Amino acid sequence: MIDMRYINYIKTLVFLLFLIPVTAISQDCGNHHTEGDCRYDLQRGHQLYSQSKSVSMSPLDTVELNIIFYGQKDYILSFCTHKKMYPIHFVLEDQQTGQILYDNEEDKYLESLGLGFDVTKSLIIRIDVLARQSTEEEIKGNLGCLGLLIQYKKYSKKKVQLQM
Amino acid sequence: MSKKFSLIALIGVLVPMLLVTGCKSGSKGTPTLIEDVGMDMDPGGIESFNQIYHLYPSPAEMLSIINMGEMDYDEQLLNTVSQADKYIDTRSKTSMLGIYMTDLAYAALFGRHEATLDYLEVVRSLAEEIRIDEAVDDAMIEKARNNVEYLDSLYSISNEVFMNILAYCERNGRPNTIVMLSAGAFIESLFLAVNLIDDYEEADYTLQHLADQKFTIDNFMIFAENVETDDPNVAATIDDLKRIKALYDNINPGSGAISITKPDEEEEDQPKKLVIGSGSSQSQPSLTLEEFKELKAAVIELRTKFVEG
Repeated sequence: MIDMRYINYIKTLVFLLFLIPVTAISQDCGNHHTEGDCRYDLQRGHQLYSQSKSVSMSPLDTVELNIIFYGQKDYILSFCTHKKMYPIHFVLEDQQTGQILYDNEEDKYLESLGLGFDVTKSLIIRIDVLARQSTEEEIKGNLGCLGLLIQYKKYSKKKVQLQM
Repeated sequence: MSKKFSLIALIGVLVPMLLVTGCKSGSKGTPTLIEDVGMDMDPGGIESFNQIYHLYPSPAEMLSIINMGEMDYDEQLLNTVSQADKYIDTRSKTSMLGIYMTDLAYAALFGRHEATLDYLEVVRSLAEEIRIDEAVDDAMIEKARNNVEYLDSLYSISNEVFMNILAYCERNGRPNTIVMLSAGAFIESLFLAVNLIDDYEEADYTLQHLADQKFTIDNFMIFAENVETDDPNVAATIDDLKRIKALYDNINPGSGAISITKPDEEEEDQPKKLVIGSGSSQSQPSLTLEEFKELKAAVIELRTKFVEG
């Protein structure tokens, strides 16, 4: 026979746990790019790029990462967040000219993109989340982690004309 | 009785936790590398932020661009490990930590096992002195010892050290430390690069890499100047780097023109790919001989200042 007080105790515990918002489990986002969904994209033969980044954001926020990509390397960009915050929208902009190089809206908000750089470039990666699984209240009240995992490897045998 | 007590204790723990997280709902992640430039208020009173982060590569990544296969390891360029004890004040120790992290990366890239382990020990010791030793723990040193034969592994460890230290400083609200050690690391990377160029006419690839550091110093200075602090060490570090920044501001930045192509054949199980190429022969930053000489002199002077403490 299970003690009723024990059942009430469990019910209270479950109720209280439901009260904890996404915020409470996602305040320390530091390693989200290696511990969140992005980890499924980790590839053998690639190195983790030090400009990989995780931040805490709300669905109302925009995050801009100004990142330097060295030339003669292949990169893989992988974006991940809390399940309630998908899909992730990102735009790549040339920091020097302001030219938009890519918008993942045109590919149904894909979350991984390969980039080869013949030459060194500084890009602004502008990110927001559409949070289609969230209610309006959750959109206004929640914070979640957003991670950008960047992996790279050197070009194998690429011949590129350098100008100097 | 004990269950009642447990329930009260549980509520006692959870309720303050809910209150604390509720209070933090307007705060934003890591306190460093951030510049909140925009804050909009919608009619319902909900704040939205535009978070901007200016990032820059690690010393190992900066050095990995240089083709080590075509160069000889020159230990004379590095700051010797025996010097590590002579730095007394926080700024010297922190800048030197950056310098030694770069030397660690250099030794690792050339596969110098003994030197890599020596520099790793110095990095750990300095990290301990400025109380960020959790970022470089025994496990990491042991991992390096066990993988000393593997070039890729040494490189990864030297990179990991930099990333761990930055992440630790971010988590613990120490942007000042990030500014000082990044400055040291950046100057040492430039110092090694300028000294690897013997002949301006022959050094096209390394010279291009040196010119490309314009992007790095731009991002670093924006980050450093946005750190909110009264710490005179940060102000002095920024002042030190202003001369280098001014030199880079005056070089030809290039048109920035690019070409974007999609590879003819996409690799299986790989994500969609774009290739960013040079749009024209004038698209990249470039250094004239005079600018190179001036930059080299300024870098050597500043590096000497750091090293002499």
